[in-house]
Amino acid sequence: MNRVFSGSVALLALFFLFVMIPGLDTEAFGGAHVQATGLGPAAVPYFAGTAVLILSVVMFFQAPPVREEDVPIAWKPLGLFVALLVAFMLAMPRVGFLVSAIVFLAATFLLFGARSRIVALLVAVAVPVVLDLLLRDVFLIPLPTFPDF
Amino acid sequence: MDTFLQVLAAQMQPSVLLTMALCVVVGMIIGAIPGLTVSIAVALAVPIAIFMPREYAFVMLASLYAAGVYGGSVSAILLKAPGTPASAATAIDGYAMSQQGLSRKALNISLLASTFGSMFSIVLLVTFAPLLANFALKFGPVEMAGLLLFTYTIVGAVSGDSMVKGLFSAALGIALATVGSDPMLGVPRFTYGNTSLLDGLTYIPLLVGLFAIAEVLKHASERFPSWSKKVSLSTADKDRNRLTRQDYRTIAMPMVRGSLIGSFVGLMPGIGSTISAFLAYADAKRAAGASGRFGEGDIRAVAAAESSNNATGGATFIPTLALGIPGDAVTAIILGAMVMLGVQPGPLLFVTNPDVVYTIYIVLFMSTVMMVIIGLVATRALVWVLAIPNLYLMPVVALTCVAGSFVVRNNVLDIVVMLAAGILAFIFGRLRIPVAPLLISFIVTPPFEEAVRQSLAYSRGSMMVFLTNWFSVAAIVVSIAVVVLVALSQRRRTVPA
Repeated sequence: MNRVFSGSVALLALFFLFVMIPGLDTEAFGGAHVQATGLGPAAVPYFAGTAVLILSVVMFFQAPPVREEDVPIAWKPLGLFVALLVAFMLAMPRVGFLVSAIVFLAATFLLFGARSRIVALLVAVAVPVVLDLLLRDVFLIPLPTFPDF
Repeated sequence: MDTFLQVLAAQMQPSVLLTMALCVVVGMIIGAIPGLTVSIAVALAVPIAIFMPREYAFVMLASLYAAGVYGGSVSAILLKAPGTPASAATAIDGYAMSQQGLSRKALNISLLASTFGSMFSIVLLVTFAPLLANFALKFGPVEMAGLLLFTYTIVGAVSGDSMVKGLFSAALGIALATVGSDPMLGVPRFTYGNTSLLDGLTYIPLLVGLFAIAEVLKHASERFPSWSKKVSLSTADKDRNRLTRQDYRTIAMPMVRGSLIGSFVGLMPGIGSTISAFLAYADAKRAAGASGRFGEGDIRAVAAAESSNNATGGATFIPTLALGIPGDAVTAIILGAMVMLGVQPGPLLFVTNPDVVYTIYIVLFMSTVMMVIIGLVATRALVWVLAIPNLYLMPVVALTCVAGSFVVRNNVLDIVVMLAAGILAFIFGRLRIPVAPLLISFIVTPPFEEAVRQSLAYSRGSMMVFLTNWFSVAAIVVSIAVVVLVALSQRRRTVPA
């Protein structure tokens, strides 16, 4: 994973340095300032991009971390959870917080093997309702609601 | 004095005290649950805090921080699973004491040491923060640029066990901070016509993703494991668990030394309470010499580690308030929240908003007092909390993160940033790349860029301005020295003898 990650970051850093930064319109609001100081809006991005590139290349050649307690990643459950989370994120602005949160929690608890289905469903309903009441009525933070058709 | 008395009177309002008590309880609970750190507690509170009146927001954030660090010691002692990384050193001897039927004694020592450490660092904060702020008022952009350069190097070099990874994390934080409008000219950078990005990546989704979502993904990748160990305090022998006068004498010096170490570490940006706790542990072990039973349940170990990690908490507010430079990840979160609440940390804070400074002093003190009271009576309740299955807890945390990130601007882009930050921090965790340098660099990059470009505008583009200013030269020299020393020390560790 170390090599995949650091290699990918190195490639992204090259893209950042040679495509994204040159695409900046640094003359937009004041070429005079750049001439006077020698440093324009692209300076810090170039510095950061170069540092990321060099350090990711060093990391690529470093030995991966060895940790005795490292638990192997179970990709399927992780992928499933991320998919459920993304679905919740997309649904929330459209169908409201309550409905999407209840469905998200219920689906997660049941698909991940909650011991008691009744407890799982109770928690899946109770937590979003309490959270919604707390945020909306106590802290006055408006959450998305189910649209009126 | 008038301002202080006004703030004190405001803090004594029943609604404020109730908020504080509630946040101390929540902070202890979240700190106690393995997998939910004090950073997550504070990160989750920020989306709520920014909608509250300022005084309540600071009460909430500071109380959570103060109590959360102590809360982590509960699961460290009872389960050998630190609730927060700062309690990792406590777990070594704390759990050993628990195995010998001395769990109540260990918890009481932890509470006492945490309180001592907190109070020690609050005294330092009240004494030294104004002095440092007064000194920093004389800073111009050149001095500021030097100081922030030192911040980058120390944050990158000392966080985690690899300087390369720490600096990588810091460099990535700098790159992410350049998204948005250029601080001097307002030139849009990497926004691609998206007006939502003109102010840069939104702070709350980023920090919620980096700390909370990453932890949830970690648990998801392990199928939300729960703790198999059952904990019960009811069988503890009261006589054996009582603290004797000899015990108080034994732990006194380790607490003082631990607090000194923790406070010194807290002053340095980016190091944090985890390292301070281990430094204090090592110091107490060395001081105990042949008489020590470190690793087998020595009370000095618990006292030193806990006083140190709590002392770091108060001390990290010194550079945060006086210089606007966060001392650790949690104060980085709080600093960002302060900016969102319209308060600019830095030396001028003591002049323009002394009420904010006094609020933080008073809240830290009062929440520590509440922590003692609640900690003495609520240990059983904390133990019950440890029984909540991760499968129920973690998705609820994820839910809160998504809601909290969305409500900042009602913008889907923010929850995308949150998820992306969470995935990035999850990968960082697997590769042991520290996350704190990324967040701290993200926060200090805009003032750093502004300081450097203002300095160069003043010197008409000449870099000599940084080499002719004594403070800037000192900062550059110390930064280079830190990098070289850390590199040598890490090399010595990896090269076999």
